Formats: sequence, structure tokens, C-alpha cells
Amino acid sequence: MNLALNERENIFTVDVSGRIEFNDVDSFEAYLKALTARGITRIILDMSQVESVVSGSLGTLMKLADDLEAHGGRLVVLNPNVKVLSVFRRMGLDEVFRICDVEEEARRVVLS
Amino acid sequence: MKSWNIPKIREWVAAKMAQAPSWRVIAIDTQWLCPLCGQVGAIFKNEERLTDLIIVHLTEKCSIFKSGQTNAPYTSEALGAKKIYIEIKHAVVNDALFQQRDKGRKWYCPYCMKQTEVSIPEDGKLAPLTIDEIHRHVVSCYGYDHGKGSPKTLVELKQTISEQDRMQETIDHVRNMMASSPVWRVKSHDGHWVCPHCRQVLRSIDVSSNILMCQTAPYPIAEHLIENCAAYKQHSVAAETAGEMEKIVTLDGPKAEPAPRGSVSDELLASLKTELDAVRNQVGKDSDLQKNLEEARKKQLRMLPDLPKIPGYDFEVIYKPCSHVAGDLYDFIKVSENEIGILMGDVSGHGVDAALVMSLARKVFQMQAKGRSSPWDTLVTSNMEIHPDLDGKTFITTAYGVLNTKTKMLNFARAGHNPLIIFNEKRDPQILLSEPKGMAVGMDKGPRFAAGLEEVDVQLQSGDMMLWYTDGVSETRGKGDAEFGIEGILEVVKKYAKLDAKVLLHMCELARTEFQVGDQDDDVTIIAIRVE
Repeated sequence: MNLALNERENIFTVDVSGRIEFNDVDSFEAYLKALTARGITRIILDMSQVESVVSGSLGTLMKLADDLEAHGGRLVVLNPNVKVLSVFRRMGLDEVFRICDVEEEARRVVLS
Repeated sequence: MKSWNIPKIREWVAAKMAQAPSWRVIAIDTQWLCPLCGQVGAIFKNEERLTDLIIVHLTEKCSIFKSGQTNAPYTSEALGAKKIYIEIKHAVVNDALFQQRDKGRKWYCPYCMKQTEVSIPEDGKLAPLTIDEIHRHVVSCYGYDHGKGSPKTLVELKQTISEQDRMQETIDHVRNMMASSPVWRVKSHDGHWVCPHCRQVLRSIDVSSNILMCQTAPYPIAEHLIENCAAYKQHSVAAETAGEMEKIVTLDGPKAEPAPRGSVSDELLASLKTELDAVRNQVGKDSDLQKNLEEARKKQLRMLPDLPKIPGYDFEVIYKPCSHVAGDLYDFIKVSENEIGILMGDVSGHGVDAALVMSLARKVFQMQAKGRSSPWDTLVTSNMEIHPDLDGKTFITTAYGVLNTKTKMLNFARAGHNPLIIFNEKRDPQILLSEPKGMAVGMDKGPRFAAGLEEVDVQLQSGDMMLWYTDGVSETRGKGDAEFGIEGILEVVKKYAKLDAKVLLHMCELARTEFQVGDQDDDVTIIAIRVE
């Protein structure tokens, strides 16, 4: 799994790529925690380049969404592939954070 | 003085008590609430005397009744709210469970086990305003859940408070040390805190600014000391000079200035010795830990449920933890005389943490499943019990069905888990995937979970083979990072599900392990149930 932070017009986007595995959980969590520790509460997670996820690793996203919401912010997941999306849906994560297909929509939702 | 027709009033009260719920609201089992004036109208020990006491209240004290009004202005809902207030007040005054506070005198709620903003006076005497504050917290508390939640035990609450007190003491200690000792303010070249006990740079603790150092950092530092810092736990001596700490920073990052040569070697040597001692101690501990894990594994395997022996059904299971202890769970629970609950769950993560959650969850499911024919009911109540004990990032995907062994009806619900596969060569189509919606247990405290959970009825028939499985099966990795997937499972099912359950599981596991490249990296559990 690779992570890269981008800032476009005051919105932070984390580009995630590769596979999200069990052993990525700690570094993924630390990375996201570091962002929230700096007061960044509106985050788009661009998952268009994520090939697959291990479902047990997704608690990190659940916690992040809750933490951001508690601080008046929001997590939006952008454009996961069909396989990843089906895991999100099966586990009910689409109820925990919003999933958008296109960046414009994600930007609008994350600011709402 | 007005003269009352007591027999007529008695008859009227009896009719009201029989027909109107608002006339039957009783707090703490002994206090009847009057729906006319909204006050406690009668305090009784013997319910047989209740009508007499109500008549006394109405004819002597109730201003509404005495004014001739007989339509009750208080609804049962309104009186219900009063009842809750009375019961909370009673508990706060009489029950030690509702009187617990931490060293900062903050009151702890026995439902959510959290510190509240309510301050308890030094002498413990509660003013009406304080009781009001407690009442306000409880009625909005997710653990109380409008009266449906249960309080935790006094032992559990005291344990939580003791841990919280310890955390607060450690935070205070950290703040004091940071204020008084430069050793505690050393940061790495990229602004992370360096622990003076274990001499590690902690990348998760940002002290790049004074505000972060003074206000934000003490909490994660205390968390590190209590939970992760072996040196602190062993009372190892903290670094005494900032110079010693600076050397760690020097070793850690390229941007730090090289330390002057002079005295470096002695101090560095001492620091390395300490580090090596800690490593050596840790190796000894790891060896103990291995033994403990082996014991835990044996215990966990001993606790696995026996396969049900029910005429007309053939149950089989495969259970393969990937580490010493597993986060997968399965169970067969006797729900009623003719009903058996079939449970499968998968705690996110694996190893010791997942195993602990697994044990807790299994116990909760067992307790909630008894007598409940509806999986929806069992999962919703279990989720409410389990959610407060999780850390916000742990969840349990769960599949749960209640099988009526006489009628062969399976009521099934799925909380974030894989679909249930049913195969029968006589069915058309031969494969049925049961995929009712539902989010994983532990993701939500209750309302969203309940609203999103679906339950379906599946009429099983002779020749059906059910297959329940965890992610460890479908997410097995093969060549080129391909997944075994449900497709891999279905391939095996199509070939072998017409045989007996044991054979099917054997072939399924054989196919999975042949597909797998590298080590098994998740727990694997599969249940097969054949309807004869």
C-alpha cells in the first residue's frame, strides 16, 4: 500500500494505491492520525488505485470517519473499484462514510 | 368536608387500572404515579393494598381529583419519564454502583462507563441540581438506551475508574516532567517526541510546536508509557541529561547536528547497554509469551462447541486459526426445544486482541440468543451490548441463523458477513446465495445498525447443503495476488456438495490450500450443514 497527500484548493486528498493488507493497518492508521492531529478534518480518500482490501483492515477507516465527524469534519471515499466497493457495501461501511464516483462530487460532499 | 362515595370511586379506579396504561405506572416497584396530578400518589409494599392507598390519595391529596376533574392529563409516556427520574434518583442515593467517582470527583455512568461532567461534592452528599445533572446524562446515554440498556457491574466500573485515575496521574506526571525537565522536551529532527525511558522516537506523537507539546502530547505520551513502554513499566531509570537524549536524536535523523566527540562514547555505551538489557529482558518475556500463547490456543480449542447431533441434519466444521489464537468464532446455541442458533463471526484483525473480543462476543451472543427466534432481535441486542466495549475500529462480521429443526425453516440475518451458500442439485437454480443486508456488529451503537439489518426466511428442503465461511477462506491469496474468492468456493460446492458435509469441507480446504501462495494470513472457519 502506498499513500500520498495532495492539497487541492484547500481540500486534502490522500491517494491510496496498491493492496490494503493486515500489516498495513498500523502505518495507515498512524498516517491518518497524523493528519487529524494537525487539525485536518475534511479528507477525501482517493481509492481509485486500490487493487484490493482485506476486510479486517477496514476498522481504521471506520474510526477515522467517526473521529472526523466528532470534530465537525467528514471523510469521503472516492472511486473505489468494484471489488473494493462490494467489500464496503457488504460490511455496511457505505453507511459510515460517503462513497463518490467523481472528484467534483467528493469535493462538494466533503465540504457540506 | 366533602363526603365521597368510596365504593363508586373504588369501582372507577379498578376500571381505570384495568384499561388505562397511564394508571399503571409504578416506579422502583413500590411507588404509584398519579396520572391526574403527576405526583407519587401511593407508596406500597403489598400490592393488594394499592387500590386503598390510591383512593386515599385521590380523596385527600390530589387537587385535580378533588376539583372534580377525572380525565388524566398525564399520559403513560409522561409518567414514564417521571418514573425514570425517580428510579435514577433512588439509585444515586441508595446504590453504590451509581455513586462512583474518580479522584477528580467526576461521576462515572454505570451504563456507558464514561467519565461525565458531573462533579460530586467532597462529602458525597448530592444536591438536587447534581441529581438533575446525573438524570440528564443517563436519559441521553447510549448505554442506557431509553431504559433498554443494562448497567455494568460495580467491579467493572471500579476497574474502569481505577484505569482512568492511573491515566490521569500519568498525564499529570508527564505535564510536570515536561515543565521541569528538558529531558522530557527533546524532539527528533522532524518534531516527534523522544521517550526518556525507552529512548525511542515516537512517530505518532507530534511535538513540533509548543502548543502541541503542552496541550496535545501529554495524553498520547501517557498512553505510550502505560501501554507500550516496557522500560517505564519496569521502572527503568529515565535518561538524566538532555545530552543523552540528543544522541538518540542524532542517531535517528539526518538533520540533527552530530554530537561532539569527547564524552560521547561513554554515554553512548551506557545507553546501548541499557538498550541491550531491555532487549534481553524482552527476549525472556517473549519466550514466556510464547508459552502463554500456546496455553491460550489450547484453551480456545477446548472451548470450541461440540457439533450438534440432530436427527435429519449433518453438521461439520473446519476451524484453523492463523496465529496462536483466533478471532473467528462459531457456535451452535440451543434457542428453544426445536430451534438451534447457528452463529459465525469474524473479528477484524487476528491474534490476541481479536481473540479477546471473540470471547466477549461469543458470550454475549449466547446470552442474547436464548429464547429469541428472530436473528434480527439477537443481533440488534448483541450489538448494543458489544459496541461500548470495542475501540471504535474493531468490528465483528456476523452471520446468524435460527433453524427450526422440525419445520426446516431457517431465519437468517447477516451483519457485514459473507453470503450464506445453499446448494441442492434438485433446486433450480442449484445455488442460492442468501445476502440480506446489514452492517458489521460494533460499527454503530444501535440505531443505524438496527435500521439497516434485514432478516430473511429460507425454507430448507431435503438435500440442501449450507456452507458458512469467514473471509480467511474467500480472501486466500494465490498466484499473482489472485483471491480464492466466492468463485473458488462455489467451484468446490458444485462438485462436492451432493456428498456428505465432511467430504465437502475436506475438498474445500484442499482446494483453498492448493490455491494459497505463502503462509495462511487469516483465520479460516467453514461450517457445512446438510439437510438429510
